[in-house]
Order: sequence, then structure tokens, then C-alpha cells
Amino acid sequence: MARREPEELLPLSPAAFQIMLALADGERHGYAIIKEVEGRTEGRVRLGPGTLYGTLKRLVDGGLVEESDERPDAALDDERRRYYRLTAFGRRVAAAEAERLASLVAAARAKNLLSGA
Amino acid sequence: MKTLKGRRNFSERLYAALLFLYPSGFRREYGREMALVFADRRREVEGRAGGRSLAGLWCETVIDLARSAPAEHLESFMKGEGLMKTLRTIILALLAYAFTLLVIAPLYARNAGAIPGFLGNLLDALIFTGLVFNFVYLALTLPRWLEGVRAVRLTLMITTAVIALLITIMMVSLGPPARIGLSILLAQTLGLLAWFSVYLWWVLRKRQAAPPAAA
Repeated sequence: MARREPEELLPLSPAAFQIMLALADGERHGYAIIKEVEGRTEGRVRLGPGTLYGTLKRLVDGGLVEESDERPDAALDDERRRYYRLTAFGRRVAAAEAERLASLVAAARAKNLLSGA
Repeated sequence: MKTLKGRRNFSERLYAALLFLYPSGFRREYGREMALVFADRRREVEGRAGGRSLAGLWCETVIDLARSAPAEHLESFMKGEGLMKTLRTIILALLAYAFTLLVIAPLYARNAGAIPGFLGNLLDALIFTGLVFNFVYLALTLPRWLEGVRAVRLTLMITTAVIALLITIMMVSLGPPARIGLSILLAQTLGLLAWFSVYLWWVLRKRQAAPPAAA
């Protein structure tokens, strides 16, 4: 399989980037991803189950996210849940997307589109 | 409490039923987790603010379904998964035939009736009945009925050849008016045989191209 560059997959969809951000600091199950995104965006982004798992499916198919084999203590969590984490390639793609967005913000700032710049 | 529990169960049961709006493969892979997530969301909103939030959750859920279910069906269609594989085969086959017809139609319009007698009738019928009906018949039936059943394919081919032979013998022994109707029948039979041969060739070619199974 040919080696892929992260830039080939950019730009990511907003839902995909939100999910990858949620997984950047550790593995999570579906509901935990929704809660992380909702908390970080102060409720402005709410992922529904269809959007979440549709996007996760594409991220898994693309090799950006993988299912984690490790399970937390069964006493602490429902063992029916599946946990997801970023792959090394997924982390590089997320970083490339963050760089892309940062450069856009820098351009907006240079043109005085951002207040308090 | 009993009423609240009943309502909870109804919401979760309803969501589980709505999961059938997604393609079967997607549902098998993620349906259970989606139902778990919905149950978590339901517990969260009911614990927070009661029935009004449950209505809000349902609004979000319906919007999510309306957005994501068609997207998953489209992806399933493009990838040719499950039932969509058959549907895609049929649509592509019909589009291919429509293209062929666009090419044939002007030629037919110019040359229709140019060849007199039985041969002319046969050619006309072959173009406008045999090919059309048999192509549609094969497009609709072959992917579902005969995939992987070699014995049935062989039987159908032999039967078709025998029928074509019998109709030809009948045509020679009958007068001109009967020949027109029979030529249409013969055209359809020949069309079926032709399309079937193409399909068989395609299946055999695909099988030869497939890598041998690991020992």
C-alpha cells in the first residue's frame, strides 16, 4: 500500500476533526466522545449517534482511528462499549489539520478580521 | 415511576426501530453502540430537566437521522455493499443499455425495413424486443437468483438453445404472418442467450482473475 501524506486527507470535515480532537488525549467510547466535544465547545457542537458513528467508520476505514483492544475494569464501565483511539497516522493528520486552520486564523488576524488581535 | 420507566423504554425502543433506516452493514457494525449512546443521552436529559429535554433530544435525533442515514446509504451504494451491490449492478446495467440504445436507434431509424422478409423481421425484432426485454430480465434476475449457482446457469443456457432451435424449425414450417410473431420470440430467445453468454464470460473471467485461495 502506497505511503500516504497527511495533507492528502485535508481538509477534514468539522465532525471528523472534533472527534479526532476528542481522541487526542486518550481513548474514549462513543458517548465519552460526544461529552468531550460538547464540553469543549460549550454545547455549540452536539454530535448525534448517526453522525458520530458514520464519521468514526470513515476514520477507521481511513486508518486514522482504531478500535482499542484494551478494556477498562468491567466493574467501572459497560463492557459492551467499544473504545477508539487515534493511530500514529491519525495523529499526524490531526496535527496537519490544526496547522492548516492555524494558518487560516493567522491570515484572518493579519487582515484585522479578528477582534482583539 | 412506572410511567417514566415505560416512557424511557418507549424512547429506546423507538430509536432501536429507527436504526433500520441505516444500511444493514452499518447497523450490524454500530447499531448496538448507537442505541447505547442514545440511552445515555436519554438518561442524561431526563435526569436534568424532565420531559421537555426529552423532546429536545428527539428533535436532535431526528435531524441526526435525516442527515446521516442518507449519507450512509449513499456511501454503501458507492461502495457496492449488500443490497446496494445488486441495486448498483442493475442501475449500471440499465445505464449501459440506455447508452447502447442511443447508438443503435439512429442506425435502426435509417435502416428499418431495408432487409425484406424473414431476416428483416428477425433483425428488427432482435433490436427492439429481444435485446430490451432480455437485458431487463437478466439485469433484474441474474445477480440475485443465479450468482454462484453454476448448475442453474448451464441448465438455462441449454434450455434456451433448445427453445431457439425448436422455434426456428416451427418458423420454417409456418406461413409469413406467423413468422413475424415467431421471429420476435426467436429474437428474445437469442437475446437471452447472448446476454447470458456475456454474463457467463464475465463471471468466468472474474473467477480466473481472482487470486487462488491460500492453502
